[in-house]
Amino acid sequence: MASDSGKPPAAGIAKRPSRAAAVARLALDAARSLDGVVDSTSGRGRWVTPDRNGVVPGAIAVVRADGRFDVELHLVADLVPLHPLGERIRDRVERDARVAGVADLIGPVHVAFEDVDEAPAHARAEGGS
Amino acid sequence: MSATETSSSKEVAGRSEAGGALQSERGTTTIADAVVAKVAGIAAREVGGVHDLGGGAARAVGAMTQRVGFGDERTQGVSVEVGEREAAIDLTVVIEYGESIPTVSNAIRENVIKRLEGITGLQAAEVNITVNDLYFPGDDEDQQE
Repeated sequence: MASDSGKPPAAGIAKRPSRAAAVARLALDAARSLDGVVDSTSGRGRWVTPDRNGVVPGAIAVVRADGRFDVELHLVADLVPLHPLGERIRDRVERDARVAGVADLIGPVHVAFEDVDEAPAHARAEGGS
Repeated sequence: MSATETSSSKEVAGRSEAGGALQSERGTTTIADAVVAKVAGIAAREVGGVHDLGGGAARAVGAMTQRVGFGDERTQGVSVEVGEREAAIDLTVVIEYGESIPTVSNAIRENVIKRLEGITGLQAAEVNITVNDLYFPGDDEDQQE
C-alpha cells in the first residue's frame, strides 16, 4: 500500500484513520457488539470504507453537506427478527457515538442484512475455537 | 412430472432490488433477497415429510458445489420475488413417500409464512410449491452403489 508520500508506511507504524474511517469503524464495532449480529460483509470489496491502514469491511461512511456522515452497514445476522435488530443497531451506534463525543458526526444509519446464519452462536464459538 | 400448488395469485406489492425495506428518519433497514430465500428454505426443511429441496438437476449440481464450498443448500429449490412489504416464494420440494402431499404442502406454506413474517416482517403474498419427486427410503444407498 502506498502512503501519501508515495512510500509504503514503515512496518508497525499505524497511521491515524480518516474521519470517515473512524465513523465507519465506530458504527461497525457498535453493531457487532450486539447479540444477533454475526459479522459484517464487504460484498467482495463493494462495501468498504478506505482507511489509511487498510479498509473497514462492511461499513461505508460518506460525509454530507451538513458535516454529518451517512453510515451504511452490511451485515450477517442470526435468524432473529431483523427490523427490531436494525433499530437496536441504530440505538447502539448513537449511544457509542455519544460516549466517544462524536454524536454530531452521525447522520442516518442504514442497515442492510445481506445474509443470515442459522448456526446458534454457541455452535459458532465451539467451531471457531 | 411435478405438481404445483398456488396459494393465491396476488401481485407482489412494491418490488425493489433489495426487499423488506423499512425507512425512518434514523435510516433504512433493508433485507437482501438471499436472506428471504434462505429463511424460506430453512422453514420448508423444518417441516416433517420434506426430504429435500430442488429439482433433480439442482440437487445434483448443488451437491457438487456444496462439496467444493460454493453452494448453499438452504437456497436450493427456492426462488423469491421481494417487494417492500410482500414476497412471493416458489419452492421445489421432494417429499417422503407415504406422506400426504396436500398436508405437507399446507404445513410448508404455514411455516414459511410464519418464519418469513417473524424474521423479515414481510407478508407472503404467494407460496407456490412444486412437488418435484418422492423420496423412497433406500434411494440414497442405490445412488451410492
